[in-house]
Amino acid sequence: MSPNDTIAACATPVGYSSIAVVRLSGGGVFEIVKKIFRPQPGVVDFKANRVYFGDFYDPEKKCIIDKILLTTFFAPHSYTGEDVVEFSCHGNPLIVERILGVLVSQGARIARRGEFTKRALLNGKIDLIQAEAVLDTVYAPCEQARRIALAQYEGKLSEWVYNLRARIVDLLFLIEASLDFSEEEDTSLDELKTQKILQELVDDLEEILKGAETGIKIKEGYQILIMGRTNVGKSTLFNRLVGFERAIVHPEPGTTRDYIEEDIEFAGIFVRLYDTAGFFSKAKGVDFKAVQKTHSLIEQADLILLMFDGSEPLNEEDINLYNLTKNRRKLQVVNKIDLNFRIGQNGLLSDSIKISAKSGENIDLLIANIKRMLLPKNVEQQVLITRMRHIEILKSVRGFLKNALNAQTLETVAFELYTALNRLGELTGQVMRKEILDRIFEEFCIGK
Amino acid sequence: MSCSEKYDIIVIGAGHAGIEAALAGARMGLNVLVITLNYDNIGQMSCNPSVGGLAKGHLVMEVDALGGEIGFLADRTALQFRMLNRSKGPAVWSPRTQNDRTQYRLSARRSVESEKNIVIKQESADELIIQNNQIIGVHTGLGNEYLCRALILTTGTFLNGLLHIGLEHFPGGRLAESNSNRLSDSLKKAGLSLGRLKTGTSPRVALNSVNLSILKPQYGDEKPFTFSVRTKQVIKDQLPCYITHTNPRTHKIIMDNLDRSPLYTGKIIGIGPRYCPSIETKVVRFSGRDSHLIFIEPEGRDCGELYLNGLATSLPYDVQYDMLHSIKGLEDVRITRPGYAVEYDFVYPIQLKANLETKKIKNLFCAGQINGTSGYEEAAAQGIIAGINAALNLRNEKPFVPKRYEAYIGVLIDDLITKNTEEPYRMFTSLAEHRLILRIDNVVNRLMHYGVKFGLIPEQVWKEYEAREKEVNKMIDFLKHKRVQPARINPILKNKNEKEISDIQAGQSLYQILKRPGIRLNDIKEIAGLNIDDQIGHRVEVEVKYEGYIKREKLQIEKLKELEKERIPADFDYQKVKGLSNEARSKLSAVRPENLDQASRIQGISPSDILLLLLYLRKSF
Repeated sequence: MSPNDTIAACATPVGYSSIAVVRLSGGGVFEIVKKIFRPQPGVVDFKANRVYFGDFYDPEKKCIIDKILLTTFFAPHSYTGEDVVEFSCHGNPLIVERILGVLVSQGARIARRGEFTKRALLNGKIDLIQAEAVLDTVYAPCEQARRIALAQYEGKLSEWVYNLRARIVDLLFLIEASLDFSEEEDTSLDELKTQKILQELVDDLEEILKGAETGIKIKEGYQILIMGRTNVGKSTLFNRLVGFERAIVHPEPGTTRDYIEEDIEFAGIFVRLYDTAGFFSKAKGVDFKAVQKTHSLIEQADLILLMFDGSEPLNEEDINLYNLTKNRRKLQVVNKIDLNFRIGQNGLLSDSIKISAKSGENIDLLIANIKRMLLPKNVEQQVLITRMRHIEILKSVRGFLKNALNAQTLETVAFELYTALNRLGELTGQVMRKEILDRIFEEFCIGK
Repeated sequence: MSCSEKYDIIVIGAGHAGIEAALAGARMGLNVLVITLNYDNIGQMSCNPSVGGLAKGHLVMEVDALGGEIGFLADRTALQFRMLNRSKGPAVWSPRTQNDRTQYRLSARRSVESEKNIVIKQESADELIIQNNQIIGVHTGLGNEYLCRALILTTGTFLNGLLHIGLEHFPGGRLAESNSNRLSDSLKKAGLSLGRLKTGTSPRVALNSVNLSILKPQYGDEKPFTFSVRTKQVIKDQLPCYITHTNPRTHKIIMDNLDRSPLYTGKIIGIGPRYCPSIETKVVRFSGRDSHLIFIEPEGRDCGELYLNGLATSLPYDVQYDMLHSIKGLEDVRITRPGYAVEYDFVYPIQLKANLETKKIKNLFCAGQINGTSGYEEAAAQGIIAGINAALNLRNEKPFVPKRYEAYIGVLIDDLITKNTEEPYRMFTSLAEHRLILRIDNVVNRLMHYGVKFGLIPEQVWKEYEAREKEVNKMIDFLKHKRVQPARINPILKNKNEKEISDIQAGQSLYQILKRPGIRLNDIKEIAGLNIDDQIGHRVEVEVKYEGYIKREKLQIEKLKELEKERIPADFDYQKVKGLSNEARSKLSAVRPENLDQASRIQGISPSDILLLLLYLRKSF
């Protein structure tokens, strides 16, 4: 058993709720439990992975604090890898506080932020990528981010990284065999084969790095900009998508002067939605400032919803805005289909979606289209990276592998590969040189 | 009547480690007594008659640069010179010699005998005399007592050595030589913990019974590359080795007789080296192969014996006989001495400090096979380090421990004291993480200044080195400043399939041209108007071509030095560091690393353990 001290913390948010969960982990868990938990009659000993009903007892004040459920986990088969119990008590902050107080008086201490996960990491229950994913799982802003975080927590990304690492080790072991045992008969290495393996490794890294942009976006949020001339109903659509009256809507043109923004989740995607001012060409003073800001938003936006008023013919301002956003990823939205349709046919509207922001007609269709535009097709199958740290490491690994492709001698190829492995080790833990030698002895008949 | 004498240093054993230890100690001005079981066998090559080879060649040259003997002896008694890995990059080039076994031994003995500060005695060292956890002498089998201030154990395979041929086994250190059967007990009594290892050697056969004419010869290099800075001339007529192979018939003979193999019947308990397995192990483990390579090596110039490299075995005599007779060229072979296995005691090397002194007993040093290594070269490397450090201790000076980025010797010792070898340890280039800067062409630059400092390198040798190095630097400088015109260089570039330079690039330096993969120094020698010898040329070429890698290595080393600076007190209590795993705690407490860099290389210690330690050390010291 680990000699770690015992830590306690409330695992549920502070506040009133039907239950609250207090978690206890460390070397002294069951010593404490024996003193403060009185199970219902008949229970003599605790077994692993069970739930016990009983009283939480304060041995100093000699009174019962609450009727609780106790869930048991034995080391190493627990989240932290240590002995762990969870007290499910009634969700009153006073009860939680008393329970924590008793636990501390019996020798536990209050856990620091993230300490349970840190212990899981140190005890080898999860690797660094997984530890990071735990945090992402807890804070996932949308369904897609949650899905990716879960996949990472389950080890999908780790698996990918370990696979990459294993392939580099495989190649290194062949190289080392040919360097250190060049007098043996079967250790010579085919240069073309080496090049081919290196190229495959580089290609795979390229691919995952290409997906990284999507991963980051899913986690950090896509930026969607609603644009259109004044009074096309931008704010109405904005409110419709946000789900409440965030923007002031008024028939008078130019009600929205500065842009406003809101973080929302729809269709499983985390989005920062912007509503912009509608006057563009003739803006002056304060409005001119707002327009300038909108210009920079256009540059950053992942998607622009360019709105047109279906009840009026296209005008010059519409065309201007169309041209302004020409090279950006955008969806054309014709609004106000609940009114008379007067906009007419125009080539520039050919791919547009016709909605009524006011009545909500075709909003589902719009959302489905937004999702299609933002998420790559096979996103569910992809292993996605969502952290800059991971991207930076994999980029530099790719760099070293590319160096290896251009290296002139085998031992310099090996140098690049070791450097790549060391960098990769920041994700997976270090590589022991002995590991490489062990492989050589396993697979080659060495020794003359 | 017993005799009692006093010396500064006593060296027990006179093999490849003992010789270096004794010579280093004596050359540093101390009185040295060498105790050997057999005066005639000082410097005996117990196994194959060759020195160097992959990574081992590096070790030999490092020992030489420090002022050791092995390289000089190997050059002097060489029958063949061969540079291995020449088709690979210069960092893994490694020289090897085939040697005259008898001449090597005699030369080694002469080196030791002619050192004025050394006394040699043929006796058995039986019991260490220890007082207040400090070594003060040794009792011998003849009842003599020799006192000392430091003692170096270089016992090779002799500690409780047990020889196996088939199911027969008998005590011995080498075939026909008695073992040392009392010293182990004395070491245990002193509190050292001992393990048991096994190694084996090949049969030797009569030269006139082998049909060499039908076998493929392997010749030495035309231009011999020598180990030693002291070597001025070498033999002209080199002897070849010959190559033959085992075949399915050989393998069947082996398989049919495994029930009489001490290895496969559990008679041998010591762990053998995976890189140098017996032929029976190779046949069993790689059953898919129907042939294994055998090198037939000369034992000497005027010698009627040959060595069969690749056939280490402990099978019974009659099986060895049948096995050899099934091999091409050996159909009518006569065995002169059979192959055999030897089991012996060794001291778990994590009980040593980096200067090879035992942690428990002050001024008691161990070097060579007693530390769980194998190989003459590994032994010699430890020998010279133990010798130097014994002397430094007696002078109250700081220990000499080459770093992993300075020398293969550093890698060797660090691996030993942090990883506690489980099988006989052998040097490989892949164990050196700074391989690109631990080359044979820069070995002198890396280490000779130490040899000079300790008084092990003659003044003249150092001066020659300095002059040559000046030449190298001058040459590199010259190449950097010498500009070439396209008209002159382009024909050469074209010839080598390298991109030609344009008029705009005119004035590119030769240095830049030489950096190109397809261009060798020889290609531009003429334009540059250079007239330099090959050795200097090679140094220049490597320095230029590897410049980028060397720079990157140096950066990595700078980072390591940061960890190295984080010293861990000798009596540090690992229990105090919260969050360390139990495994990490017990390993760290066993090894007691001197700094965080060393700690990071202990097996089972994770980067997060190091981080925890670092945080703790920073906080509390």
